[in-house]
Amino acid sequence: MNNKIEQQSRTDDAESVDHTISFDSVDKVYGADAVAEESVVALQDIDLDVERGEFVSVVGPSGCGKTTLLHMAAGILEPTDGSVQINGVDVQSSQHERKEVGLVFQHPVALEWRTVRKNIMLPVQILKENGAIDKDMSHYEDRADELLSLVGLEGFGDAYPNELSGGMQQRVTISQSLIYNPSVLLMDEPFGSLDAMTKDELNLELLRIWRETEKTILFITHDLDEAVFLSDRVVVLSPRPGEVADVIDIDLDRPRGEDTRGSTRFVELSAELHQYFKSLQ
Amino acid sequence: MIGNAVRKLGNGITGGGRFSFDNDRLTRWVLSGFGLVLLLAFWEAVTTVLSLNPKYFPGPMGVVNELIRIWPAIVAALPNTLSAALVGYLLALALSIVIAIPLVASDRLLNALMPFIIGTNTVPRIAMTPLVIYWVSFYSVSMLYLANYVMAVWVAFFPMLIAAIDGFRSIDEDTENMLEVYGATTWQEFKYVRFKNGLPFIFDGMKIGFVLAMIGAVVGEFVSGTFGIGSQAASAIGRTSIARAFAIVLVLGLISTGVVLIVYLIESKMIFWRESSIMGDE
Repeated sequence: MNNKIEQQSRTDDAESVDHTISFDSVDKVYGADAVAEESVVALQDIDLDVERGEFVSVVGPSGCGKTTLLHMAAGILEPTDGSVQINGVDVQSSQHERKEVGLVFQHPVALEWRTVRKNIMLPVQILKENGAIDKDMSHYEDRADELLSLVGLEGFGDAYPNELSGGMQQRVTISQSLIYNPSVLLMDEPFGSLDAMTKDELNLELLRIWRETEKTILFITHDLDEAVFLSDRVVVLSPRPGEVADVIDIDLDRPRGEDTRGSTRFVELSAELHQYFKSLQ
Repeated sequence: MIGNAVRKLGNGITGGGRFSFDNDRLTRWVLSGFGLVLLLAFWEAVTTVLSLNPKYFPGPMGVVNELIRIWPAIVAALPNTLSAALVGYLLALALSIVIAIPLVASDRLLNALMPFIIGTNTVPRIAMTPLVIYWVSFYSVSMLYLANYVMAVWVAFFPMLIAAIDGFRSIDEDTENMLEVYGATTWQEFKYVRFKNGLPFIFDGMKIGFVLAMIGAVVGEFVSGTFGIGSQAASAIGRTSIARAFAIVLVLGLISTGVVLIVYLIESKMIFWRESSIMGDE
């Protein structure tokens, strides 16, 4: 990589870096490296900084590249151009620390043959074997118990995933992503496949977990109300190519609760976002 | 372990689990038993009513009588055949898993070899029996029985290999991404996810696999003439002793069914997280 020097300077003044997640003029083109004539520009010129402890949602019509954006932050996809940094380190570089990022998918990825507790422990087993974390396993075993109560799954540690409801399984996945205490949580429509009531309940829980753990969260959703309810800022992506159309500040008071959804300001912001969203399509 | 045992016990009590013997399942067993009796009665009736020559068209009673008569000969011939089928089967199973691992680990290797694997699987491999026997006899005539082992492996291996490849590849995209985010190595992918995730496929392959290994061993004996139940069947047919041939086929069928049932049983113990049963639960 030719940005070695740049990287070096970044690591040097890492402490002065406030952006926990930083997209720096990122393009993602599918099929760009292939001989194929048709290439698809999924994302174009994305500049986005998420501050430490901030809750930022990304909304956009389907196919606008929301998931691509998240996968680049997770290091699963490489940007065609530009770079994505977490805590000032390029996620594609070898200095990037995997333990800094937790990922929650739309569908729970709990392994059926592992108990809830063992599923939560899976990431640290892998990271420990690869020397990516230092602490003793017993530390994480204690932490798994803490997480079980944090997400409201006390007493389910020895249950198997198929004995749990969809909402409970997603709580397992959230605990799993928190077990190694990452500073960043990337969430890809985590509650998208749940019924409305469970979704509302888990939204509240997520805010509580966020408050208690002080994570930086990048949250993908297609539910505009959910985005308004949860976030400090909502990033709106325009479709094909995906570009940042607008970033909306959500100035609702915290902590937010059941009554937030009924407040005039929530209704205003939601209406504004819906209106804006319509104008995009 | 204790938690597991309690869970299974609980399933048994509530009747929701695999180890319960609920009414639905009982009904199914009774019905299939009834079907079998009906079929045999029909067979016996046809041979009697049409007064068919029992030498060429024996009824079930004739077959059973013949089975009792030649039982000592069958018991003497079985070990050779069973050993070829069983050893060949286990060898093919081990090979299929060992070979599937690098194929699934490397896309390039898989792309290079998959057409060959699928092609060979499609070929009627049993037609190669004379060639296999020829090659083995070239190696050692006194150990011609080895050809039956080779045939069992040769016939059973490819479907089991394809099952193992499909099984190890069957993890969903989110799980794959999750493993990548944690920085899991290829071996960790197998250790933590792919092996267990592939088990249902591997067990399905194992059920077909034994039947095929048995066919391979028996046909090997047909052609090689080495002592075993396959060559007994061949000579029975050669002497138009139809009842005897039927009796031998019946024994082979029962053995295959028995082994497949054992595979089902091991499957339901090993894949405890998934409902599976011989007669189907749903």
